[in-house]
Amino acid sequence: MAKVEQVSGNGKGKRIWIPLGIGCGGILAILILLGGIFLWAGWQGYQEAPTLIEGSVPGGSSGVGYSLTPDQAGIQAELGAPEAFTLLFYEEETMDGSLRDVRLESWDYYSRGVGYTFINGELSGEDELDISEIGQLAPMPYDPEQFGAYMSLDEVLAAAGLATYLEIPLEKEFLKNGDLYYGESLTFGLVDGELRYLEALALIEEGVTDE
Amino acid sequence: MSNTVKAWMLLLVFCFSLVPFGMGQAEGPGRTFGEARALLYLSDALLEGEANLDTAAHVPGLMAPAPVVRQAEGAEEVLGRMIHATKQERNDHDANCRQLKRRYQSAGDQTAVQKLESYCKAERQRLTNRISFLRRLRGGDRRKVLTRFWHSVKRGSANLWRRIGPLGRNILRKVGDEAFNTVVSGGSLSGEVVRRLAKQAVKSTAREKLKQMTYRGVERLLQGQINIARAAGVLGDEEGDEGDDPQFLEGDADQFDDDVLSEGEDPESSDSQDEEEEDCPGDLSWVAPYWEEVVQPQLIAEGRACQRTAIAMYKSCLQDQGVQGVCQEEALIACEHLYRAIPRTETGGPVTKKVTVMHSEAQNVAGSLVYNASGGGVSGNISYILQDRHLCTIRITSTLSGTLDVETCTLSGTAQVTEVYEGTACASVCSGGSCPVTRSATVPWQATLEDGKILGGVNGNNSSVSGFGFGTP
Repeated sequence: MAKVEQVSGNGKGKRIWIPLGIGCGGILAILILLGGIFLWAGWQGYQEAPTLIEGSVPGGSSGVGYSLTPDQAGIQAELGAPEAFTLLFYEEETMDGSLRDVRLESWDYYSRGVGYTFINGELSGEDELDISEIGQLAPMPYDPEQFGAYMSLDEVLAAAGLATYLEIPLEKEFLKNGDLYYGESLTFGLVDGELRYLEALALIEEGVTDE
Repeated sequence: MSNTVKAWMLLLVFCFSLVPFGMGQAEGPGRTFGEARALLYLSDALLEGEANLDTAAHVPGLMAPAPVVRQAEGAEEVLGRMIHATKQERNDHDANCRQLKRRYQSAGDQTAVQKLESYCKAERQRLTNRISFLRRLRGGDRRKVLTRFWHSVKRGSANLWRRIGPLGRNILRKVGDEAFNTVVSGGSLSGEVVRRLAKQAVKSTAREKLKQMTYRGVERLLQGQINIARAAGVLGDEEGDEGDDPQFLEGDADQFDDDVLSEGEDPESSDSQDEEEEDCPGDLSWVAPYWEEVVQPQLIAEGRACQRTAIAMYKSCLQDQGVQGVCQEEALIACEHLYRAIPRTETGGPVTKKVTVMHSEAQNVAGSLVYNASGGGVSGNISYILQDRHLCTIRITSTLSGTLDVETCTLSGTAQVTEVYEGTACASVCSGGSCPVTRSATVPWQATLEDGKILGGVNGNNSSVSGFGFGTP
């Protein structure tokens, strides 16, 4: 009789431990899941955040640059390299339904008060820049020939020799897979990893003082 | 049986036909002009804050170390800039459409007008939709509790990743500020560089140039589309007859302008109808918490928390914007030039300030205080001489030590003051020919630090030495 009671006592103990184990396991699983979500969300946030990258060593080659057209070479021979320039790269549809690359380019000469727009190297407009006195411009470290359509990030970095730059991933509601970058005297944008916009910015040097 | 198999096979084939194979290669260009243009405008908008500065920006030698950051704030700033950029883009788009329409109309090219109208309306709708999407994204963060909770989780975890993430990657908060610094300095110059962006020095000209560039892009794009449409016979030339009628053109132009521009909207203004819909009338509730949680720590981290005048101007600007019904992100953008104007001259290590004694008869004054703009210990020395017709000379030297509280911008501590009385007629001290006499005591001192200037005093009450006032010259 006593033996029977002992057996039934052991069975009761097992019945308590099984749900307890399941409960603890469930709580542990929930905690692991929450931790995973926490880390995953943070990783997303980390990836999406605007970031300053310092000491980057561009590994790629500078890729295929660009050759000036006769229109551009003529202006460069007369006025020198542009003091600032903007490049837009995109595609347009042709009559036969195929796609053709477009390089929309703007060259600015602030000190001469004139700007030029080229489409695929062909002069499409000349604009007067209404500037009275702009001051001493810092030397422009870039040249339009350095940058070609749809370059990769590494190619742009190598072409511009940028080690420090700012990377701003863009909301997909603004531009899907778009990223904007800022470097010294330079800003550029990539879509799907391809160079679509680049602007070399002229700087006015007002002086350097040592503290 | 065979019928059943056949039916299933047909169903399978039908289902396969529904799968959107090749969707990525839709008709039309994949790399659109609109994408490149959006990047151009956003880039401009992120640098735009500096344009309002009358003075040149002072950039500390190497880029200042990234402050303690909370990534969400940087992302929110970028979101506000995206909305602003899209509005600018839409304004220029409208202006370009009007200009092109006038040109096509004066040429009597009704086919081109027709194509232009359809392009301009579609493009405007796309840009308006983009603004709405971005606003919803921003609004969601402001209004929904769950979204806010999710963002705070994301932020906390992102900070963890920031700590353990790869070296050389600093997440930013003041994105526009950092973008400007990167562009003008590139992180490679030494000394204090004073540079400006040329396009911001000639802001209106640069804006006009931007508009001209996009105008030429749109013109080219449309010409291609018009040619294709003509070749395909989609657009007939029969409307050309109507195009010759000046009355038709005039009326049509009005109608088009009404279509393109929303009701009551000023085409040149960046404020649009949908902006009015989402105004934050008189909402100042965000200013105080934002100030405490974001601005104050940032100012302290950047060593400019004690620039009271400039800080007051920035705060006042934020409050004014709030009263005018401007939403937080846009208020931050509107006032950003004032934030940037807060001097940042005391970063990068200990600051040494020369101080003088506030006593009209003090001679041979020498004094300096050394502190760290981000707070902590303060040390310094002040010495001077007082002479009474050369019959009594008192040499005062004091060694100050204490702390700087950056939250209250006060310096305080104790000073070891020594007074040496020399001469023959130092009343009440050297009477009876007992000079020289030396007196020494440890007394408290306190000073305020405002706009880079120190003003304070050593308290000589209840001690054997005299107190004195001091401050930056």
